[in-house]
Amino acid sequence: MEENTNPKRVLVIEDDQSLATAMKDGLESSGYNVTIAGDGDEGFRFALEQKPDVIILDVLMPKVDGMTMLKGLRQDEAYGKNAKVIILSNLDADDKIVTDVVETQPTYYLIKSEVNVDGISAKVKEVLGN
Amino acid sequence: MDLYLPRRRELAINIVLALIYFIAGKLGLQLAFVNESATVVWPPTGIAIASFLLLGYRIWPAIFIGAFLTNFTTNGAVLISLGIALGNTLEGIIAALLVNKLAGGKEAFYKVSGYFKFFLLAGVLSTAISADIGVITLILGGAANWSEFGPIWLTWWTGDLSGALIVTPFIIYWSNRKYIQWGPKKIVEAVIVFLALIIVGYAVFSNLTSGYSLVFLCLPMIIWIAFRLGLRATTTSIIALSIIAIVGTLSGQGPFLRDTPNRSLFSLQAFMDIVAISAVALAIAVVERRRLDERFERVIDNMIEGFQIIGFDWKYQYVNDSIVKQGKSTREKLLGHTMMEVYPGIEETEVFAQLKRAMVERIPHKMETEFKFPDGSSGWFELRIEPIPEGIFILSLDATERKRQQETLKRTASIVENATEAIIGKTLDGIITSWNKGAEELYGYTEEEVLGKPNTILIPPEHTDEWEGIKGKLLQGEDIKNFETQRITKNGRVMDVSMTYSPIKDESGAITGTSAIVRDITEKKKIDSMKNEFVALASHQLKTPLTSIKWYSELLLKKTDTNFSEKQLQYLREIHKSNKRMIYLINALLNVSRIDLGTFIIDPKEANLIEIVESVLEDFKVQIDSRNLTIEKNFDYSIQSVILDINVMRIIVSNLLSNAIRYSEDNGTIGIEIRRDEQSFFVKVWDRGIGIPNHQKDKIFKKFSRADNAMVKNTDGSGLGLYIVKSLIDQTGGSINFESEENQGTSFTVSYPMSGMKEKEGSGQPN
Repeated sequence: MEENTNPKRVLVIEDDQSLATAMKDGLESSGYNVTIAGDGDEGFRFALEQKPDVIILDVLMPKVDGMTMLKGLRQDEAYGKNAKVIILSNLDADDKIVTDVVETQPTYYLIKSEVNVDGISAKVKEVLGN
Repeated sequence: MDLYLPRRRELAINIVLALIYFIAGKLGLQLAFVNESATVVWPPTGIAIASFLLLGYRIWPAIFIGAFLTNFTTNGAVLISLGIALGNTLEGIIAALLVNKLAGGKEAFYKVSGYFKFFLLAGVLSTAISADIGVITLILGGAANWSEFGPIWLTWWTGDLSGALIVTPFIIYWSNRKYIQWGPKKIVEAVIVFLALIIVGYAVFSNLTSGYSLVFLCLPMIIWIAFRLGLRATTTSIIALSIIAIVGTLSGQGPFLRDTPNRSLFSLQAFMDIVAISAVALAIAVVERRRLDERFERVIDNMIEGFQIIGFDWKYQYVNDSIVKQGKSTREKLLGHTMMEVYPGIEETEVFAQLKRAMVERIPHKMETEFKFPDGSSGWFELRIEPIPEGIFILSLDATERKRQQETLKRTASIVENATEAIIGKTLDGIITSWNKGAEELYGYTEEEVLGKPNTILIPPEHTDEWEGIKGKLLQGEDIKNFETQRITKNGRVMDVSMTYSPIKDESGAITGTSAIVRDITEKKKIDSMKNEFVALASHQLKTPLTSIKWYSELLLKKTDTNFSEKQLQYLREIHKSNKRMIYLINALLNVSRIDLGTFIIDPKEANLIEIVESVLEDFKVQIDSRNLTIEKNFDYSIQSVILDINVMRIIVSNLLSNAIRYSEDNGTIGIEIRRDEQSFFVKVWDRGIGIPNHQKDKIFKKFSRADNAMVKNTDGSGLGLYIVKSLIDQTGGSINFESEENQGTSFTVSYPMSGMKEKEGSGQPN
């Protein structure tokens, strides 16, 4: 957990408060600057405002779900089109909802119940390294 | 009629026959009174005709020589004797020829009509030849005058006629090899009647009754014999009576005594001829009648129909074998007893009413009825009741089996007809042959609208090609169960259906069509889909808080700077473990739900089997280490990449491995093998754990099934693992076998063809 003078910024879009907090704690202890958005709508606004280095995105959320938000994000030529997104869901990777969107853009996929907070940090680090 | 006879035997027969002829001839000529060569008693004619009929024309030399010698030794004239012998021989040959051609040969003696033909052809016609030639020869040879022609001819002809009538049938009947089977009663009867005949004959033809013409007293015995004792006895009795009569008459006694011995014998022979013709004809008629009776009786006894004759006193007079069987009785119990004795209470029945009508009012009747037997059983019978002079006869056919089959058919037909399931019969060409109410309700077509139509009217266009495949399977004798497809109703609604097809076979076992049971599963599909969505949603909703627990407990377990006591840390580890188990269970349930609904997506790609197995082993590293288990790996590294769905393979291997770990003792050994042969590759996971009890071996692949010893050993398992494994393997074209011995261990072997897993696309509804 080296202190970084210019910490990378991570936007966590997650409606479940408890999971969001766990991720915030874990990622912050790994030295990332973490913002939380509670739904797809808020997440979309924050993303375009803050242009975070990595977006962690839940799929099933109130108001605007993750996939709809992602589609919108990819329309944004300046930032959104190439933003690094880690989809974090309890849906399986072969689920139709997911497969539709994930293909070409820089998107990664994790299943919540199969990873832990350290695993998420590791994935964020991996994504940033690319 | 010519028999083939070896030469020496033929010679012997000729000599013997000539001798017999000679003796009989000499005896006959003892009674020659009008001329030394002409007699009214001439048995040789009978001997000659019988011989030609029985042995054939070839024995003519015996007859010729016998006749020649008889006459030569009597009159010493060669030419005369040759002429007479020629006449005697020709007589026999022509008689035999005529009887063979026109009366059926020796069979003529077993039919009244045949016998009368014999009488005319042999007895009357052919004997005239002998008489003609004989008498003319005598006259030409100077042994008689033309003035004597009439009496000598008549004497000659009468002698020959008598010989033919009395002797020929005697020889023919006694030459029949058929053995006479007479019981003691019959023998006693025969002895008595013969004794009576001889005594009466003697009395009639002796001086005991002189002055009375009592010859008719002999007739009752002769007729008795003809009626009751058969052909041989009849002809024998006539010969016996002839001898008594001739001897008596010649000794100057009896009713036929005339002014000369020749006239006496002539009257006697005329009498005996008439007796012979009448008695033999009568005996033949009786035998013929009996043979006919026996034949009909045999036919009646062997027919399937029961046949009985009931007398006016309601007693059984005649019953055949079938009626004994149908009536569940015996001949002894029936014959001579009344119907009411045999079947108490029969008077109350409808059958009896009809029998009575036939008996009293003489009205025939046909009916089908159920008859109750005294033992409580019953049977159906088809009856024909006819009045006959003796009473009535009843012809009955056991219709029980037919009736039962009809009932069964009716019942089955009614079950099919009224079933709520649609049941449709089709030919192999798909032409609809039967259509029940269920089908009417399901499809909306009435029977009249579809019978004879092709089944394509029921199938949406995109499914019409299924039929050929179904037909192929049916022809191979397979049943097709719960085949899910779609059908279309009369008003165009497409419905999801489950079809079960069975072959329809004809009597020879050939498949001629199919019956299909159709169930509308549209509702079920809808429910399945809702269930599917529910499980997906529920598991997702459950997973989120579980993930939260997982993450936080892991965060806590990782924080080394906090001052948890060892106890607290242990609690935390328990929370973490239970949480992981719950996540596993939810995943398993979700998988089961997908497998059951057929939505589990299987997407086989080239993959490295060994790498997959290794990575699963890696997942279990912590557990394996904590239990101090040894893993014995035995991999065939020539297996590089095979076609498989990584996810499916991982689920299979990790379930088998986790079972092996769960049911092994600490410090035990677990093995994993990967090998191949020509056709297949195998993954085998074995342990030396608690094993599966024998009585539960057939259940291990069932949902929620857990062996008793497994539940004692470990409360963890879900009872879903092997179900998931088996289902996935089945759906991907593989197979799984296991061997297990309680307390010795278990091994599971999964095999796939080298071509890899089969593709099986789930319906892929979002979840």
